[in-house]
Amino acid sequence: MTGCTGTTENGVLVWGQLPGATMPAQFTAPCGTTISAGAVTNNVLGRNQITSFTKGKPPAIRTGVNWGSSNSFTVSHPAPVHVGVKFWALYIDPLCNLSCVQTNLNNWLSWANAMLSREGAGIVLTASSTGLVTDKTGVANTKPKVRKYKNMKETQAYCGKRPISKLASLIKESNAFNVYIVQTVKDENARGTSCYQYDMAFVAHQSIWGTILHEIGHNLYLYHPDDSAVAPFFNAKNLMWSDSPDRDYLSEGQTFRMHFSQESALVKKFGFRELEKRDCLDEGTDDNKPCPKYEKFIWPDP
Amino acid sequence: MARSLAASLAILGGCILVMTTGCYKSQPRVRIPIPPLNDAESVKRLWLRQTCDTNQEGQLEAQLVRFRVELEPLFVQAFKDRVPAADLSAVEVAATRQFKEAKGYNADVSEHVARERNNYISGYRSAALSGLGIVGGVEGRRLLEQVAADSQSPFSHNAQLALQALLGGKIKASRP
Repeated sequence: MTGCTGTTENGVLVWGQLPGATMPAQFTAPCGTTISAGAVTNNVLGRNQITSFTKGKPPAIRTGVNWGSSNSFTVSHPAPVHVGVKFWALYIDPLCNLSCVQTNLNNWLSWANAMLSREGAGIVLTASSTGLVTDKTGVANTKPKVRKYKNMKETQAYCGKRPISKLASLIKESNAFNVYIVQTVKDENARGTSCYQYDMAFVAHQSIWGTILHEIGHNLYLYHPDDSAVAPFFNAKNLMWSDSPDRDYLSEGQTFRMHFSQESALVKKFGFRELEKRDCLDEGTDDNKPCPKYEKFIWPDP
Repeated sequence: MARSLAASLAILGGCILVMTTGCYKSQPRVRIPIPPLNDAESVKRLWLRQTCDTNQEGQLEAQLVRFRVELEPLFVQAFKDRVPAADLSAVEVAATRQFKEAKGYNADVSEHVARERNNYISGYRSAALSGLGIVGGVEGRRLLEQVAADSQSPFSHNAQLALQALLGGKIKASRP
């Protein structure tokens, strides 16, 4: 997306009734100016909602809009959501020692935040107060419950409730995305998996930058567009594309789900937007709490 | 009647952070069926390039088994050959752009690009070995044994894991 700063645009999605328009209808206008949405009337099913997107802040939402009650509605964007990130090195490549890993991941963090800001994700990843990276190779070499994760297999023996709890009880921070750097994932050196966790992910030691952020995307309940019917609306530059050397953008539908899907870590684990959460199964099953489609773009992406 | 919306940038109160400790729930698993790929080359390409298979675990492996005879020489070749130039070019373009966007501290861009490039190659080649751990075959097994025995190879560990998978019969399936 190209959100709002200076001379660029804000964008809104509007649910209601608008002759000839498919809902949600989308409108944009230059930063700081009023966005005209035309002659919207109430939708009889109760799908009356406004969602606003802007650069650097989370999307804003206003549900239960009574389109007949006023000529204008204000939608307020909350402050960016700050969430910690903690990397636990269970394995360190002899060719890139701890200091090298720290430098690389500090730079990754800087890029991840630049990309998330550019895409209007409204999320700021912050280094854990205990440091962005902690060397746990000693524990990984001595404790069998940790050691097995050095070569991550993605089976119940690894991702199941009991084994993951054991790992978490030994190595985990409770208020952050925990990313475990391992030697291999599914026997490969540059693969990742979220293991279906809300705040834990695993990346093999030679994962490229896009893959690391991609796994946090799974913690936010985003899925691969290339595996599903939405594939034609995306390309390999989407952050969640499964086989891409260059992941770089989010759809507005994805950004929406990061903040409002009840299965996103932001809601489920960190407690943000609790009152506004929804299921987001496709467009949502609750008429009063619709979601834009996963493939919804207000601004075209590369 | 024309109506308008004011998209205000007002900031609502602070962030609410609710900590939940000691709870290791998983997200609901949604299995997305991947469409069957029609040829070994497409399966090979996806296997070697994919870095995550959340929501589709096991499905691509099943396609590897389906094309195991055709894939064996392709994976052997993929391990020995260069990674496709188009992929490496995309990695380099991405790494350069990302580094500039990150304002890359304590490193220089060429160092970063070289590392991302090397990491991508390592991922690709290790995927070729893990693929052989599924499709097997005489040549495939020979390569795995050779690499596994070479303590100087950076892929020795991957080959050992692939051999374990192959000999452990992680996936048993016959040709359709």
